[in-house]
Amino acid sequence: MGPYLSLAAAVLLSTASAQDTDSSRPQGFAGTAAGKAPRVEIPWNRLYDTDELYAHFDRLVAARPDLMQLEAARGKSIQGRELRVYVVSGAKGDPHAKPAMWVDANVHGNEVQGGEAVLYLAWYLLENADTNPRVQELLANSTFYLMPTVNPDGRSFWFQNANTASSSRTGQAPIDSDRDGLFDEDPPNDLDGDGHITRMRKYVPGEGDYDLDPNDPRRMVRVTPMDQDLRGDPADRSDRRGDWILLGSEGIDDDGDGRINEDGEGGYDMNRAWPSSWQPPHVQRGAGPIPLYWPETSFIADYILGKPNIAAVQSFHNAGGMILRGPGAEGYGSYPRADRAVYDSIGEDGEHMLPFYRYWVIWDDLYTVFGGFVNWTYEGLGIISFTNELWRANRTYPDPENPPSEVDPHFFDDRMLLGDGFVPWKPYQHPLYGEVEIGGFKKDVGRVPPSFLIEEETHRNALFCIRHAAAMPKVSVASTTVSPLPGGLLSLEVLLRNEHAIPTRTALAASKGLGRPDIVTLEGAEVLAGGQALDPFRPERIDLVERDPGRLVLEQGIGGHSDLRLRWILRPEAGTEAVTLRWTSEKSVDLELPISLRPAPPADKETDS
Amino acid sequence: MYSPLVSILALALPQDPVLPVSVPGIDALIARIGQVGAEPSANGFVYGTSRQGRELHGIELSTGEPEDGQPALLVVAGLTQSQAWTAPLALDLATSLLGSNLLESTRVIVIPLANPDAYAARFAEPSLAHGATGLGVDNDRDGREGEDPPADVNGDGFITWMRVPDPDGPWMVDPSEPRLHVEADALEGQRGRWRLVREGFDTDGDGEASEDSPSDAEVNRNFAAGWEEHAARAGRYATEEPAARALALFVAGRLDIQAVLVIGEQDNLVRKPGSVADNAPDSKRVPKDGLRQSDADRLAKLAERWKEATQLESADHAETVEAGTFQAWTYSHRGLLTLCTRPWSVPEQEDKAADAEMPPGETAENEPAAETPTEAEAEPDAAPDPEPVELSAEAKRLLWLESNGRPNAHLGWKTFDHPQLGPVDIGGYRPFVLDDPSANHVEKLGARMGSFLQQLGPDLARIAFEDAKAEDLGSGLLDLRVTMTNTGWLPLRSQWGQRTRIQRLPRLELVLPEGATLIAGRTVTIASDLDGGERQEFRWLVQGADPASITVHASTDHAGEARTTFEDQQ
Repeated sequence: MGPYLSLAAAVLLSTASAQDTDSSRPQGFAGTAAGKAPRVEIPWNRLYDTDELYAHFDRLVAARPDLMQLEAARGKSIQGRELRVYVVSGAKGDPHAKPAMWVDANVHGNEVQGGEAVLYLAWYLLENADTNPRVQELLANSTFYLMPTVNPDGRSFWFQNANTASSSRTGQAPIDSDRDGLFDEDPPNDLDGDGHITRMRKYVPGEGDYDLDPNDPRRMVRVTPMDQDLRGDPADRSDRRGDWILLGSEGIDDDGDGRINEDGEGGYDMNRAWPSSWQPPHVQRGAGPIPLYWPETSFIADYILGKPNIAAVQSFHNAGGMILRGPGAEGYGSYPRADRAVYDSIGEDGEHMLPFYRYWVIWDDLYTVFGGFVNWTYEGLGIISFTNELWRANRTYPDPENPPSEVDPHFFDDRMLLGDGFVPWKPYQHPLYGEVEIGGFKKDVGRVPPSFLIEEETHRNALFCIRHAAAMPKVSVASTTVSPLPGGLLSLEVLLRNEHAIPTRTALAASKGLGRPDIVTLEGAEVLAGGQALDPFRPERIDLVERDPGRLVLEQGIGGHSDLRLRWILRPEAGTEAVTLRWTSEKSVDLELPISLRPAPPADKETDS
Repeated sequence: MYSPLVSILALALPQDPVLPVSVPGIDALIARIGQVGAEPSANGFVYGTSRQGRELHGIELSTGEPEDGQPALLVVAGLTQSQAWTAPLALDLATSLLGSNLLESTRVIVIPLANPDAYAARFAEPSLAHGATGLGVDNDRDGREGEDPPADVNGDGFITWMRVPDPDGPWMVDPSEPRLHVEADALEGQRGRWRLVREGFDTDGDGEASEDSPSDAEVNRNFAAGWEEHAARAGRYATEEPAARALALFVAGRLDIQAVLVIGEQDNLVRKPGSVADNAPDSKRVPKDGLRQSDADRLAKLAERWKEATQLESADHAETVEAGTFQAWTYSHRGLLTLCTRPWSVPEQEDKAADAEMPPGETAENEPAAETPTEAEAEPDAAPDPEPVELSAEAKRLLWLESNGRPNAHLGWKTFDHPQLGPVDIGGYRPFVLDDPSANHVEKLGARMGSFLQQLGPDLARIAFEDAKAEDLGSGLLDLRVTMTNTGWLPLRSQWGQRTRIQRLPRLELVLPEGATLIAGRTVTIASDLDGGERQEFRWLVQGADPASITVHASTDHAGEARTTFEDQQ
């Protein structure tokens, strides 16, 4: 156990209340851009284990119960840890009736800092809810469902045990990874008991494939494998063999099968478990025997299927600096053009908000993923969904004008961390290999930011979520126009406007018939005919519906930054002053408003409603 | 054969054996499952709960003390509503195996009713053939789900079909049978006269009747192999339906299963299934669907035996859709050798002369038409009929039904003044009449299927050691060799199972006595794939032990275990 517990203890000692800050603490300059003294202080230069992360969320709930609640429905991980979803929304209105953004993190247990990014997002929204008009508007019109860790077991295992940067990606259900009938029987072993799983190297003079870097013996330099043509020359050969070999991660052959570390804890991938483009384990490693096999995944699927108001999804991972979208597999084809345009507008913005991040298509730019989470939320549910891969090593050399000639991780570790990220090589008597050396970078180097950059990383990613959420559909009635027709009839034209970039029905949702179509109803007068008005200058051009013109079913919804013009022919009873228009949509706030049937004077034909 | 229980289907035999077999109500069937499960060599269990809250039952048959890794055979029936009668049939099969030798070396797991909700729906009133019992979708995309279900419009107790006069309708009357319809072929100058619509009202006033049923997903379209995303019958995600999920999880948890027999809509035993090459390349990283050639070859040999044992020779109307089915999943995703049988379809009968059901294997359709005189030929003096019209396949099936104790198989068409659609004809087949075989067809069928499984028992892959020899090389150095054999005919893993890698290969462990030293070889070895009868030799060099004190132990999940010590070879 490293520094985490003591840090957490310090955090938790501060009380979870609105009076969170110490009154004797200097408040600092209360400039808007420079930051205000927060109601809830959270040190943003640290990473938090599952319980600590939940505790911070609970502090936020305690500070602003009007804006944030812990969802009552809670799942259990395979080891019995709580799966928590927090709901953040403005105090007015049912949060589950507003368009919502789902943000989760840490489906891979070792990819921890997404949890802090979700925490930062909640914190930032609450801290600015009373003061920043854009946050106020966002929370008035939308909701966030925040799941700080999808894989609390993997997160806790990574924090509490010796690990590498890449281990504990899995959940913690035992799996027979080496197919020998035994489960998790040969994990990496912290042989030297220093709390780190690092690497093993062995000195084998003249028989190895590595040499030590003469300028820095911590570094291993690969000796170029010999060319076949040179094999005949012993002198040349002796020059070309290294003196060291690498023996992999710290460990022994626990099960005596001749292999080391081949069946560690778990051994599956909960981001290959989702039902769209799902493939079984022989095609997609780690998928599990059926989709949504793991309790964590089935809990989330049930939750999301029960929330048709979710209109945006972000799922934080690490690392590599990417803003990823599907498809995950080439065989899917490409997403509909209209939806790609929405993706591009948000993703390309993200490239400018997140230095060194690249907006990429998963299968084409990264690698093939079958059954990925954001593939399901888009391909299965029609929700614009991204996965950000947090942290890229370029951030350690952020000056593009002055890049290093060679990326040497020791340079950053030595100069900026004073060597804290590296375990020096030490001799160790290995039961199988004899005398070896154990050493290498610690688990929090390489995939998570160093402490002084965590806040920047979480802020930028949280604000990218806000950028994404602010694009969720917002529908308003731009204008209503009533015109008299002969015989006591009226023509009513309503212009509905989606003010934001994400359509009320994505092109995929519309083409596959996903979710409920949008519906506009008109009550209070006999509706003789109605439909979409096709030409604002030719009122007779109406795409009349066959039946029930008082209830228009709009499978296509309203596009991003688009208008939908509807026109009805009404026969109001004498004395009817107004009709009632209702707009219902899964992914925008429902509207209900009276429309006066008194024709407007010609000079002021279109009136704002 | 020892069989203390009388066939449940036999119990239900009507007086006339050509009459359709009587399918028991769900309570009677569940009670019967309980009875079979309580037999001495049986063990009833519950593996889940259906969407409507019904327990999912299985029966495990085994005698004696099962060895570790004993192979298991899985039999699954009652997956779809149309195959409701296969649930009692599977119980007949289970009953026939009670006390058989097969159970001494093989576990047999019988899931007789994989989809109890669809089975129970068969007994609902009014009667409606609708096998979808899973979550519904908004079929007509009007923003309301399940608001316009099928209904018994004319109050006759059946929900059948309505034919609605429609000059643009695709259907015309079958020229060979006025109660049936065929699609008009415009190229032949034909015009349709009718729309055929499931009996029901236009509850939502959209001009369409019964177009949005409250349930859509079918259990046997909801498994993950080939699952069709966004298809109404497939469900929102694969294995969302509790009965599908529970069955899949049960199978995933039973690594002892070596082969699967599915009694249902599909067939790969009577008709030779298509296959793909063993090394068919993946496309965009996804394997090609289909039975691998080597597995198809094995299946073909088993199919010969199956036909001989069961006397089933027709599978004419077997469902060809594999997407999302249980059997597609057990093969494609689990790599299990999967046998499918569709044990009955309505035969086609050429004319009224052949008025009784032929014994299995001699269905009327196999007889050349020329050998059976037509009415016209039988009465040469009669006035010449208008040009005789050859019976359509559908007409031949109807003829068979009516000649075999089902005079009311077709309800005819009766004009009805529909409240929304105006005058329509309501009629069509009586629900389920196309599904249920005659009692004499099924009388011994379960036991025949059971006898096939008994023959299959010795063919299952099993490991055994042979020739465990120790050669003394001097200085206390022993050269240990042992041969592991697959004593069965089936391979340790099917051809496709070698790719899915669900079943693990035998794990050999050499156990040395204290003081002995392993000079060469591995303490733990994973064996190779072994075809039926194939052998693999293992070798170690050990110093400082008596050969009789050295043990090698091989374990599997599904092909038994083996243990031996070494014999000094002088």
